[in-house]
Amino acid sequence: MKKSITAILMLIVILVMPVTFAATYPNHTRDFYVNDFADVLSSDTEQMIMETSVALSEATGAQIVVVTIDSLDGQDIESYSTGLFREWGIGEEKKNNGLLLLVAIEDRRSRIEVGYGLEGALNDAKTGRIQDEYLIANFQAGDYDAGITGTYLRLAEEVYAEYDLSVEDLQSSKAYYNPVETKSDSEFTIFHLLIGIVVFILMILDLIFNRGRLTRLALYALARGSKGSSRGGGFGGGGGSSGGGGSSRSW
Amino acid sequence: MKKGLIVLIVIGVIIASLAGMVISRYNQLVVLDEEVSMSLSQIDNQLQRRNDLIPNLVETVKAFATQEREIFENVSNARAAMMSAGTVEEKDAANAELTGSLSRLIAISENYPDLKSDENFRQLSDELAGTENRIATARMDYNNVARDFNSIAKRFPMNIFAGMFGFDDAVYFEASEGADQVPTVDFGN
Repeated sequence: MKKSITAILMLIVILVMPVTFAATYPNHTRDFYVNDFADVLSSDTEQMIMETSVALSEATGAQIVVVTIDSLDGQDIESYSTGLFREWGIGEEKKNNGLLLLVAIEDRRSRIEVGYGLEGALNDAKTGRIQDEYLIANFQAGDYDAGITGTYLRLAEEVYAEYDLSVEDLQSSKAYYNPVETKSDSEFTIFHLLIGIVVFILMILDLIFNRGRLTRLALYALARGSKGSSRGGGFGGGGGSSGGGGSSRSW
Repeated sequence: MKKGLIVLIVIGVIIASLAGMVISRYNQLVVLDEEVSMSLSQIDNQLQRRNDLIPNLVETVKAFATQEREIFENVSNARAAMMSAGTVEEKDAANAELTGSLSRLIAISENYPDLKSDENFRQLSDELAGTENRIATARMDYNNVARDFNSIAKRFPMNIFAGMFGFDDAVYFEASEGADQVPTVDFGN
């Protein structure tokens, strides 16, 4: 009897288990709009991209994301970029107004992937031409920073135009972007000191009378808690998707 | 008397739960059937878009490479086959054929530097590559919903009832995997 119940339970688990097709993509950084995994961008460029993309997203919902990676690990850049685009949900869910500039340094491949909602503003030919004009020559000269900056700004310009915005409109809304690290730590007061002392005394008591069980438990809970919430804060995707529009280049 | 009643109740419960299962699976199938047709029409849109691109592309290439008659002929035959394809299987085969002949058409630009640097050709081949990639993406999306649909339709209890309700199995797009290789021109060099 017990065996058959176990068998039924296992069957249910197997039937319910979702079938997943593993293609792994990196998690995005807290900044979301800049993910310089290959480490080719200067901090000035990263800041410029953050300021522009955050302001643009606040104003229109459109998201422009830059990703640099070392290698595609044998995958073709088209399916990698569509997969990443969908996994991160670039752009708004309803409007699909996301844009991804993906660069794979070792493979010498670049791609601009356009969400459905921006295909009108940026057709495939246009994204190809932008890479021809701004990206390839710089990349061939080894200046990835300049190539990405130029391409990014050109793309941003197209998105501004699509939403009838001028560059000035967005510069004035730069205030939206607050770098994560400027969140001031709350001030240290007598109250905190008192709590600290009480906790310390309790810990000592715990160590003496209880072999530190509670302390270990508390530390464990703390470690788990911080692991779970480490992705909180920062920016994220809006649930947008792409149908595979855009163009690729190699250099 | 008492025993008979219990048996009756047990049978009733079994029938009721089975009926509930069939109804909920039926509703799932209706929704998925709709999604299957939607994804199929998404593929059709992109196939149509490519068919519209081809004449322009062929004309542009012809202007630079008149003697490549065989390639032009292949493209035009494959395009005609694509346009007359009806079922998913026919479309799948015609699509593979057309993708192959188009990538040969794009590839000859390597032998004609003037063609390769022609602005119009670059634009058209970007549009073509983008459309090929959209077709590949749409095929993948279609296959995913088709798989969801089939996994319900072919499993108990719907394997008994699906035919009765008029649900046919969704057919997969599965022409050779190499066929969705997007034709690329290396404009970098």
